[in-house]
Amino acid sequence: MIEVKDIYYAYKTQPETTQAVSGISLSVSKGMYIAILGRNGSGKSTLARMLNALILPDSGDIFVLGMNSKEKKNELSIRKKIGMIFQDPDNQIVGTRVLEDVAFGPENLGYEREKIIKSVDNALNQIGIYDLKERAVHTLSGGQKQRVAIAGVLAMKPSCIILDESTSMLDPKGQAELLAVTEKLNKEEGISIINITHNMDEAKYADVVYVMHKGTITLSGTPKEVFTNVDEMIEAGLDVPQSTRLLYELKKEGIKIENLTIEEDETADILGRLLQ
Amino acid sequence: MNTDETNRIISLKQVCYTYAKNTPFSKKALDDINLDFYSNEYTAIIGATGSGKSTLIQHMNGLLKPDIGEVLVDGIDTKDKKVQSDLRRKVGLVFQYAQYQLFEETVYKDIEFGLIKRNVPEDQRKQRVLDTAKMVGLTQENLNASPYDLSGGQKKRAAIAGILVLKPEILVLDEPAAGLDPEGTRELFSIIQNLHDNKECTVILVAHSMELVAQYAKRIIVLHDGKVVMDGTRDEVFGNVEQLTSLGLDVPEVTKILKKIKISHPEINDKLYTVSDAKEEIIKHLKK
Repeated sequence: MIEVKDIYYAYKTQPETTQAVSGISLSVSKGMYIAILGRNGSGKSTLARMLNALILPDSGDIFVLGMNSKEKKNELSIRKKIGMIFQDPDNQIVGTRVLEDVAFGPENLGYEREKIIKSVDNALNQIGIYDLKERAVHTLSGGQKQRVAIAGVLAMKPSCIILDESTSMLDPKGQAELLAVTEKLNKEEGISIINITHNMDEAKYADVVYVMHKGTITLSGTPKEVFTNVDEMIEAGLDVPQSTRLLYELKKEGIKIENLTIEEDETADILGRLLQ
Repeated sequence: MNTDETNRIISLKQVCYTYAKNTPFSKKALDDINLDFYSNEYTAIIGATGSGKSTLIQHMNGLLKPDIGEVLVDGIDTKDKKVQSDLRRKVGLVFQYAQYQLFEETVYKDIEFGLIKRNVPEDQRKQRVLDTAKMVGLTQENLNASPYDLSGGQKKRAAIAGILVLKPEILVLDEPAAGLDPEGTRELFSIIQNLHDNKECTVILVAHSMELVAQYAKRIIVLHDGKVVMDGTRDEVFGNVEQLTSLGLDVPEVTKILKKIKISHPEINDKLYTVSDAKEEIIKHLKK
């Protein structure tokens, strides 16, 4: 669904230019849940902005459902297909009431009144926030605001939703609420999710994890394949689950541990057997 | 910990606080809080969303005043209007998104701002700004930059430097790891740890990550619905998994692993909360 082919991007500010993305290729198939992990400044937000044509690569190409993001005529169709949720819940709400905010997208697509009402109601129901419909947005919690933003994107019937550090300003409860919604949309509606984050707990449930470091992808694979590369993860300024860390540290002490895991239960089993 | 009365630095007595009083939205945020904090303690305050953590720490420098009860900082009542600037000097409060409070043209000026407001002579200001910048790991290049050109982690350091430059006796931080990546978080907590180890300040912080709390804090206070429900050492609080779970809180992942191993290996000590302690425990038993 999305093909990224060897893209480069540099921010050209005076006096110097900063190379943010250097040679990234990846592909996202329909219905996949992808996590892109990386520290602040690793280039992950730049990549996200290129995926929905907010910025264009200096070289290389991005195809969304076959449309090249570099062609101006594709811009609107790409943004309709790829919804984006940003970090700060207060920066992406345009309406004063939930209803108005969610209707903003469909209104601008020029839908008829009946269709707008229907798509807003559907989106609110799918996210499970229909009860918030009449609420003033400023009375909502951060987690609720981010779910309103998702409903706004959903009302445009996207094929893919990108979360750009969307949970980093939320407390654990808000984080859990938002993640539950993205998992539901992924499983039940087949919408692809690209979650850009530095929180490893969110990456544990992804189909594929990419690790970005200094503008390139340094690791990719299933969460287990990625997180068990403990040295590379620490090098990239990231973290691994305590389960993995414990097994890794024990292995370094010369204790015979064949395979690392990222699961708590599996770790307890491995250590239990060793202790027999 | 020296819990002599002379060593007591903050004291909250029967503190109650309600938001939006006398309106339909009124919400009781703190309900009869009684707490004493002592010099050089390192305390973490934990609790589920809406438990009153942020409201509580905003009482510590007089930003919020209790409806009922009193808050004493070094014996001074925070309700006393004459002492507000004294209070803010003693207690440095770092907000959750401190990075959004930067406003000056350069990072240097931002850190210097508080010193100017406190009439610190110009010749002393420069040295203090440079020393503090060094302590939090900001380079000369960072100091000359606009705050807006810094990364998230650097902004947070700049904001904390603006507080530390005033040499507060008590450093209060609301979720210092918010918005920081793992490496940035590790660096920040080691800065805080150094300040504490060098006895430069008493540390009180609100944190969500149980792993960080377990690694750094000596004392843990648990809030629930505006009340203190647990208050003790790390072992006392994390030892009580059932109660923490019922409050919607978690224990570190290694602790859960040790608990599972203990079912079949009762000799294992499961009252350990960091990866390095768990590692030592496993090695000790493997050698037997």
